[in-house]
Amino acid sequence: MAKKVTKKKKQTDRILSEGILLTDGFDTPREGTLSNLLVRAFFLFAIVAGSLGGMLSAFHISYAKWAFFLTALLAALYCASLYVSVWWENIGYVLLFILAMYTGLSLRTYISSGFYGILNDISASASLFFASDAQVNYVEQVENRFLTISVAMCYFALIGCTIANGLISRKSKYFAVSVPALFFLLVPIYLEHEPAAGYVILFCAGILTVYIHRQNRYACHKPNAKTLQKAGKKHILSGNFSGSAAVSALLTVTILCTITAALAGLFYPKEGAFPKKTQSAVKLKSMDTMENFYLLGVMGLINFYPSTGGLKSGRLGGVSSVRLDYETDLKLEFVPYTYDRIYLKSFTGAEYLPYENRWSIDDRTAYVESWKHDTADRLEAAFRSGAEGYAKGVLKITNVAAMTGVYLPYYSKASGVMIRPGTDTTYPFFPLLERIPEGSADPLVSGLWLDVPEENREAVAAFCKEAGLSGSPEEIVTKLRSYFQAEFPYTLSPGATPRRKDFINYFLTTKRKGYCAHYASSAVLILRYMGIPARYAEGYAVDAVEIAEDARRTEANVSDYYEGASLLPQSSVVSYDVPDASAHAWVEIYDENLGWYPVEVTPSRTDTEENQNSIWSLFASLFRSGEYPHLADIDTEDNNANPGNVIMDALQSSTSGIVFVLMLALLTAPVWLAVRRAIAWYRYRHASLNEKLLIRYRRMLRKVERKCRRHRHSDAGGGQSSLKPDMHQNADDKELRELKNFEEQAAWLSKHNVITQENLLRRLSWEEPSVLPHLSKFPIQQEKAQLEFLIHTLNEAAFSSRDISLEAFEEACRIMNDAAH
Amino acid sequence: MHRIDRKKTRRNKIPANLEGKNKKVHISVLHLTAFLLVYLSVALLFLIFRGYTFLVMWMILTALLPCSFCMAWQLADRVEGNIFPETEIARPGDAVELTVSVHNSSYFATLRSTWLLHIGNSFYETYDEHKLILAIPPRQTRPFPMHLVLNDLGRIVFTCHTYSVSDLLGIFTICSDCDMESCLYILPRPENSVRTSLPEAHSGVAELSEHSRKGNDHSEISDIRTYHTGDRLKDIHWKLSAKNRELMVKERVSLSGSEHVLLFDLPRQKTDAERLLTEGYQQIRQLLDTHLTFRLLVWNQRHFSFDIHSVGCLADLDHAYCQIYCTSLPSRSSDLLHQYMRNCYPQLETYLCITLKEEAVQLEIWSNG
Repeated sequence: MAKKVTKKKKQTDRILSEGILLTDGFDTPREGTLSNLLVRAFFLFAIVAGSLGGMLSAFHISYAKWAFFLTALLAALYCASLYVSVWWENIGYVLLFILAMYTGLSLRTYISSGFYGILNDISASASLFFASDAQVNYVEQVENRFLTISVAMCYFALIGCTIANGLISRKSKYFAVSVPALFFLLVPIYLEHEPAAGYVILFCAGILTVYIHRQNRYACHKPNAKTLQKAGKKHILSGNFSGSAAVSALLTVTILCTITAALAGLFYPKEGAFPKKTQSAVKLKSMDTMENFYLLGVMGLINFYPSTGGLKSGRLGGVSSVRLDYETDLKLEFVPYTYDRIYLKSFTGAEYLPYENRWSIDDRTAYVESWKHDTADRLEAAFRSGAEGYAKGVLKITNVAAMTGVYLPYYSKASGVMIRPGTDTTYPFFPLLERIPEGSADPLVSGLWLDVPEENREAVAAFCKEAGLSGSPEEIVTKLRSYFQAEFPYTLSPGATPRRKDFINYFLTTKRKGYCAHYASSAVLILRYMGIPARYAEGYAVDAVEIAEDARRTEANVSDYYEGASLLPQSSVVSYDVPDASAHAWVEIYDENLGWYPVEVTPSRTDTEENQNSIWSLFASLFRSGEYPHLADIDTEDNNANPGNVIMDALQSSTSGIVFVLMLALLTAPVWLAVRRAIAWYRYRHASLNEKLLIRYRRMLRKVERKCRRHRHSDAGGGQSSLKPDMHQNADDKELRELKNFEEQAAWLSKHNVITQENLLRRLSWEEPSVLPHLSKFPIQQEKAQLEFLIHTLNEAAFSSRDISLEAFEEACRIMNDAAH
Repeated sequence: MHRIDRKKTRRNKIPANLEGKNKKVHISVLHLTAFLLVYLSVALLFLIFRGYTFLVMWMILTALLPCSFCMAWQLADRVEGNIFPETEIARPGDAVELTVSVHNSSYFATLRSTWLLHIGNSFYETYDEHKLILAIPPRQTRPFPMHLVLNDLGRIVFTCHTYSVSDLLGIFTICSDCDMESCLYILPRPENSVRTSLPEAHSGVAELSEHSRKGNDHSEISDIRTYHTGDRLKDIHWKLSAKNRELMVKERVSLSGSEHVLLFDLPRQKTDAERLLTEGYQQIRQLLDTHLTFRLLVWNQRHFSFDIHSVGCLADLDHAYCQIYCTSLPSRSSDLLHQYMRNCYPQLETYLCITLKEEAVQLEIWSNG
C-alpha cells in the first residue's frame, strides 16, 4: 500500500512531472552485488594477467604461474570489493597501501632480483634481435630465479590491479588502461616473440568488456547529486546496475574472443603467418632508436646537439640521429678563388679522452701549437714580396644562428676572435694555391699529436691490419678514405654510443657506420697509430660547387676583398649562406714543409639518407615494407613500383609539402564551418521547444553583442550608441540591469512577479547554467510587458520540465527578432 | 525440409504479440568513430609490427561488430515491457512504487535499452517525457521499481510506446514499438476535522420536489429498447412500436427520488480546482455519513453533457472521483453550467452545487429557474 511521506525532500529527488516526485533509490546502482563485484574483478584480473603474463609467456620465462594467477585474482577481487561501501573504500585503500609497502619492503631482495631476472631475459632477446653484442645485464642477488621471478610477478600483479582499479572501476577509462597494458605485449611483439594465445584472449576480453561498459555509459560509478541533476535536466532516468547483464556481456565477449582466436589459429596458424624476414619500413626506421633506448634507456632517445649538424666542440656520441633543418648558420662574403673545399675551423682537438668520448685541448702547449700561424706568415711574406702564385683575401663572416665561436679560414693570422650570433667579423687570410712557400714549418714541440690512448690501441691496430694501411702519409690517407667509403657507410642516424662504451672503439668494431665526427675522430687515432701527427678539427666546410650554385653576387669592390693570384678565371665578391648541413669534422695532419693542413676521410653522403629524415617519408613508409636485417638500405630502384614511394615522391619536396598543408587547411576551414553549422542545425531541429527557444536566445544575444560592438566602433570618439538611450528606458529596467548577480536579479524578478517562486527555488537548487546572467546585456527596446513575457517564457523554457506552448515560443521569438534588429 | 522445421521451431519461441515488430536502426556516429579508431589503431599496429597477436586482435574486432549488431537485432524482438503502480488509488503525499518490468526471452543481453516514458497527469494535461535507461539481462524478468511521491490530485498516466535496444558496442540502436500503459488515481485524503451540514436541509429545500404531471417523474430517457416482461406500460413508446411493429420501451434514468443532485462547478485554474475537489470531497464525505445519497453531476465538454455518478457510500465517491479525473480539467469547467443544467434538466427546480465563491469552497443550493 501507498505510504504517506513525511520526510523532507532530498537533494537527489527529482520532479518527473508536475506534482510527481521521484525519490532516490532508483538511480543508485547496487554496487555491492556479487555479480557486479565479479565483473569488476574480471576486468582487473584479465587485463593484468593478460598483459603481464602474456609478456613473460612470449619470452618463455618460467615462474610459478598458479601463484601469479592466484595473487592477481585475489588482488582483483579485493580491489573490486573496495566499492561495496564508502567506509570500506576509504579503509581498504589504506590497507592495500600498507600491504603493498610492507610486502615491497620485506621482499625487496626477491622482487628486485626477480625484476632483474626478467630484464636480463628480455635483454638477451633484445640483444639477439638487434644483433648487438652490448647486452644489458643486471646482477641478480638471489640465485633461485624461479622463486624470485614468481615473487616479483605476484607483487606486480598486486600493484597492477591497484593501478588499473583506479582507472576502470569508476569511469571505465579503457584507453588509459589499454595503452600501458598493451605496452607489455608490445615489447615481445617488437622483438618478434608472440605471447601465448590464452593471455591474448584474456587481455582482449578484459579490454573489450571495459570498452563495452564505457560505450554503453555503463561505467560503474555511484551517481552524485550533480550527475542526477544533469540527468534530470536531460529527462533521463538511468537504470540500476544489472550484474547478470554485465556478466552476460562479459561471457559473450570472452566466447567471441576464444572462438575468433581458435579460428585464426585454425585457418591462419601462427607459424608461417607471414615471413619473419619481412618488416615494415616504420619498424625498420624505429629500430635504431629502439636500440638506443635498449642500450641507453631514456637518454638514448635524446639528441644532444641536433641543431649544429651533430657537432659540439669535440663532444662525441651524444647524437643518435642528425636532423638537418637547412637553416642558415653563417653568412660569408668573399671572392671565390679555388675549386677546393673551404674550411672554417672552430675547434681543434688535441687529446682524445676514451670513454669520456670527447676531444680535449687542455694542454697549454697543444693549445698554442694548434693555433700557430707559421705557414700563414710564410704565405704573407711570399705575397708581400710580390712573388707569383700568392694572394691575400678577406673573408667577412656573419654569425646568423651558429654557436659562438671562431670560424677561421685556413692560413689566417687572426685567432681567438669569437663571433657571437648576430655579429660579424672580417678575417684576412693568405690562400694556399698551387705553390707551397719556401721554408719549413715550425717543428712540433708536443708529442701529443702522436698519442693514441691505450684503451683504443687494440681496436685501432685491428682496424689498421684489416684495412691494410701502409706507405707514405698520402697513401695511407687515400687507402683509409677508400676503406671507409667501401666498408663504413655514411649515415646521419648512426645511433648514440651506449653507456660504458668508447666512441671510437664502438664505431670501428661494432657500429661501423656514422657521420663525419666518427670518421674524423677515428682517422686521427689511426693516422697517429701509423706515425703521422694528426689532430681533430670541427667547423664548417663549404664546397666550391655549392658556392657556384647558390652564392649571390654583390656590388662590393673585388679589390677590397681579394688581391693576387686566383685559380678561378673571373672573380667577383659573392655572398653565400652556409646552412647547418655544412657543419663538418675533418682531420688535420702535419707536414714538415706545409705545417697543419686539412685532410678529408669522410665518405660522401647520399641523397637517400637525407630524404629519410623528412616527415613525409615517415608517412609514406607506412605503406611500404622493408627487409630484415635493418642494416640493409631501402632499395631506391624500386621506388616507382611502390605506391608508398609515389606518395613519398609527391610529398617529399618541401615546397609541395607546404602547398599541400596550406590547401588542406584552406579546405578544412570551410568543411569545419559547414560541419559546425550542420551540427547546430541538427541539434536545433531535434530540440524541444524549450531548447529551441534557448538556442534562439543565445543566437540573439550573440547578434546583439556584435551589433553593439559595431556601434561602439562607429561611435568611437564621443558619439553615443543609439541603443544606449533605449537601455535606460525606465527606472525599473535600469534597476534590474544594475543588479549584477543572478540571485539579485532573480529576487527582483520574483518581487515583481516575473518569475514564480517555484521556478526560482528550482533554479537555485539545481544550479543550472542560467539564462538570466545574460540579462544585463539584453537591449530593452521593447515594451516592459513584452520583456516580462520574454523573461517569463525563457525561465519556463530553462527551468521547467514542461515544454512551453507553441504560441509562447513564437511570440518570444518574435520579440527577440525585434530586439535583435 | 529439416531446415524449415528448425526455423519454425525457432520462430515459435518468439511470443505471438512480439512477432512482426516494426524495427528501425539508428547508428551513433560518435560510437562508430570511436570503434573505427580502435579498429584502425589495431590494424595499424599489425601493419607496423606484423605481430600475430595484433592480427588476432584485429580479427576479434572484425567479428565483434556484426555479432554485436545481430545480437541486438534478435534481442529487440524478444523484449517485452510492462509498467504498473503498486496501487490504483493513492492520496496526495503518498509514496507509491511504480514498477517497470522488462522481460527478455532471449539468451542475449544489452547494457543499454531506452524506454521512452510519458508520465503526466491526464486531468491537468501535464505530461513529461523521460528516457528510462535500463540494462536487460538474458532470460529474465527484471522489475525496476521507482519510488514516486504524488502531490497533485488527478489521474497519473504512465505510458511507453517506443523502446530501443543498443548493441554491445553502443553503435547500433534498434528502435521498436511497444504498448505499455497504466494509470493511478490520486484522490483527496479524508480528513475528519471538517464538519459540514446540508444547507437548509432541515427546512426540506434540499428534497427535490416532483411534479405530478402525467408521464413526468423527473426522469430522463436514456435509451430505447425492446419490451421485456415486467416493464411499465407507461414506458412503452407507442409511436415507435407502431412503426417497428414491435413493442419498444423507453428506458429512464431517474434524477430524483431520495437522491440529491449535486453539481461540481469546477474552475479552470488548477489550484482552484484542486481546492474545490479536496474540500468538496470532505464535504460530501461528511454528508454521506448522514446516510444521504447523491447524484453527482460533472460537466463534460467533450460529450457536451453532464456525467452522472451515483454516490451512496465512500467507495462510490472514490469511484466518481476516478471517473471525473478521466476527462481533463479544461473539459470539465464551463461558465455556462447553470444554463446547461436548465437545458438538460428543465424539470429540476433546485440542485446542490459545490462552487468556489469569494475564495472559499461553498455548498449552495441553486435554483434551476
